[in-house]
Amino acid sequence: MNEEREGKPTVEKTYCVFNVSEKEFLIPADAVREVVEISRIFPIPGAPVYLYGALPLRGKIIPAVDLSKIYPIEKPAYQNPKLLVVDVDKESIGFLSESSPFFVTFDADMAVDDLIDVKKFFETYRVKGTS
Amino acid sequence: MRESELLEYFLLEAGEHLAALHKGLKELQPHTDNLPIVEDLFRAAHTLKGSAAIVKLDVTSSVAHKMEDILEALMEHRIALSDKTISVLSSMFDVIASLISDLPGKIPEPSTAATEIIKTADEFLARELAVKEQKETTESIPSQQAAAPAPQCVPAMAGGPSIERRRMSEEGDLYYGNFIRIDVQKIEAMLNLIGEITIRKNYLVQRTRTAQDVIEEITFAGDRLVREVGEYSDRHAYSYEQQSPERSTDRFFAGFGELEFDSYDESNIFARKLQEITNDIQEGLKELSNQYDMYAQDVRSMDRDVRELRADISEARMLPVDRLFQRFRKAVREMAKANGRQAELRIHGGDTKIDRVVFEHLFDPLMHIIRNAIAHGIELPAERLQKGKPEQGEIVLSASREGNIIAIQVRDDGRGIDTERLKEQAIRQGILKESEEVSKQELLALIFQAGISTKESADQTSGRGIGMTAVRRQVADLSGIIDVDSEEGKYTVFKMHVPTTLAISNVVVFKSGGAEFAIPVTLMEEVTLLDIMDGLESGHGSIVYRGRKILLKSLMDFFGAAKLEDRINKYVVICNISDKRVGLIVDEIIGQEETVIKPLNEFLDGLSMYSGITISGDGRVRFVLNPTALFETDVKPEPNLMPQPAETELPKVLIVDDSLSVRKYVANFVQNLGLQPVTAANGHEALNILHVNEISLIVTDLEMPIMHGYELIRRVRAVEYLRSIPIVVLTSRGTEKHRQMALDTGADDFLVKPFDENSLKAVFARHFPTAQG
Repeated sequence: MNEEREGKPTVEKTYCVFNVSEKEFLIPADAVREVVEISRIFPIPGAPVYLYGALPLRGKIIPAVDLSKIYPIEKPAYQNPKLLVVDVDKESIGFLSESSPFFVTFDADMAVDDLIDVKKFFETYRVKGTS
Repeated sequence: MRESELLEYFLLEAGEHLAALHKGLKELQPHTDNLPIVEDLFRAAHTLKGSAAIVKLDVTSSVAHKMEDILEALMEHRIALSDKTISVLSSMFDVIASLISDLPGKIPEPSTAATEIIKTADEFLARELAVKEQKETTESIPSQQAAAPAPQCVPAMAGGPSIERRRMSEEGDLYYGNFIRIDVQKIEAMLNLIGEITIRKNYLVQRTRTAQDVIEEITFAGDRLVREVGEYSDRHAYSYEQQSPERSTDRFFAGFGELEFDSYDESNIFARKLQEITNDIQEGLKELSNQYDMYAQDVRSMDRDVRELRADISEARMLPVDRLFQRFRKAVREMAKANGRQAELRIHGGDTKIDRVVFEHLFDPLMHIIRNAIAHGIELPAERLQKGKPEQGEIVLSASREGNIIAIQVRDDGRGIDTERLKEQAIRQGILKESEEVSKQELLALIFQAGISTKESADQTSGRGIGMTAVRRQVADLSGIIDVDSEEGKYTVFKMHVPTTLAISNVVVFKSGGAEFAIPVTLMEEVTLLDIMDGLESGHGSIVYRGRKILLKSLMDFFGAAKLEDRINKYVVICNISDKRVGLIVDEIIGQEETVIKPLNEFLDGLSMYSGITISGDGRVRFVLNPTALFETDVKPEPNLMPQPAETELPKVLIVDDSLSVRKYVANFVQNLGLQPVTAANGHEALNILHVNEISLIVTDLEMPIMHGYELIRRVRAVEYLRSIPIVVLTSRGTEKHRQMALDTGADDFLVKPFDENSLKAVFARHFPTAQG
């Protein structure tokens, strides 16, 4: 629709923006499954510190990642955090966000900073076996 | 029904018959009494013939028919079971199998191979029958096996149903049978659903209990109200004698007689109204209680129904374990041959039913054990003869059901396990000290340790020393355990205990360090309260309990949450992890429940101390511990892996009051301050709570049934480890005398009801300077 109005066909890409403390992160919108309010979250004993907890969602549990433990960010207050649930292949993980995530659209060829490649993230930060 | 649909059903069914034929043919041994196997084969061929005919697969049907003829001749001993017979039957089977596998899309069936095999079979049968008639003088069998005398005598089939009758009845089953076929996926889906229902149901049952508590409280309060009002009414409803002083002095009333005042006295009217309302409330309470009883009854019967439903559907997913065992026949034969051994597989309890999923997961561990048995267990024929054993070794696979558990054993009559060698290896690797006294059982259990093997050099099939560790893990993944026993020179036996089904598991739920965990009951031996006085350094160690050594681990220490300080009366969950008994020290046992264990999110796969998760009916997440992994020395959470502070780590405030509304009000107040309220209705309850919970502050009423507040304060102050808990008295007795008595007994603060929130806040602010509010 936009393309027609502007008269030139541009390829655009939509991202989901969320924030932890002062820092904003972007995730490709098509990876986002949903945003949920965190009412109760359960600790994952033995998990790395960047795993804030586990949240039950429709019979499955979603590990909630606290990016402030991965990136050098000021300690967030997480007063009323939201969980941005993203799909990675058949699994889902969540990122804590201090504000309600929103969507933005850029030209596809624009370089986007602070973009999280969810697949890569999943592989890098998945809990590795200790044996 | 459309033809294509019929064909689909035929294919489903045919697969099973082919499997039965395949299995039977492999089991057939020439020159032995194989009557039961031949009967099975006959039935399979016969049914296959019938069903093929229904879907107009005449070629398949006629080959099956010919097979049936040969098998029938065998059953009636008109021909002998020779290698040749087996080979003819096998080639017929191959033809049928290829006809059926070619089927989808290829109708009519290709028939050249079929025509040929039918011809071969006919010729064979004719020849064999002729041979038999000539008093079996020239049986055309290769004579390699003739060394072993083959019993030719076959028990007569007296009394059994005639073959013709059997043929009839099975045809009948096909048309009018009571069976339908269901896709396994559908059963799986149903089981999943039942799992969810079970969780819901558990929650419902739990809520009924909570409701029961509330009803008891209301009834208690209601009874008190009724009693108080009754007494009040008795005193005030009719006050004939008593006259209020104001009235008598009032000029205006001076002329009236006393009787004329009674009915108008406000307090009289109030008392009577109160009495009426109270009666209504009492009626209502009775009704509520009745209704509740019925409701609870319904929940209980639903509970029963769901269990039954679950059992029935789980049963539908079960298979006789024989089907799994049969897969090892060929393997045993081939491995024995490759290793220059002679071995025979025997099966006991093959009809024991087992869940399809458990069944699939057992294949690898069993294969490994059988491989070991042949490679290390069973001796070479010459060696066996020397030892006075029969040349041919024996591997016995047996299964039996013990409640919700299947016991599976693999036993070989080989050389057994050399415990001395195990010991040497363990000493060399520093697992054991030379001076250490170890029982035979403990030595045997060493074979589950990584790096230990009784075979000197690794070969293709086994002996790498990681094998049994892997087996133990695979069994543990199924929430099962494995044990070993052996006598040198005589036998080795591996015993596995696995749950009959994985669809729904019984777990024990407990708390530690604020998080909830679960362990499948199949792994548990018992839960007990122990004093752990010594033998526990930095969170782990061992004790001797009931004459057995138990390795201990404090779950809190393991996760780095806190040091185990209080060592008296600790809950210990004792588990069997194949080679040893282990005990987990936990904070609190929540109870046992039926639940569905779901796999871990892949992101968390590396947390090997967990085998899955369960979600409670009210949505709480519990990690399912895998004690085997927990006690494997190489699994330790990294030092930076600390648990998150849990919701229950908030300071707890104990509120003791017989009034439900005061409890609720103060609890709410406490919660708003970011603290965790715990409530009790009297001093006695409060003490019970104090013994198992770490309480930071007590707020108590003075007048309460069963045990009053003064007594509670006195007892708290008398116990060493409770002495320092601050106590706030919250009472309607506002006199100085009460105040002094409370403070003398040991209270720290004294507030009078009705209290204003600010004074309560001030008191809390003193005890919890950091609490928000």
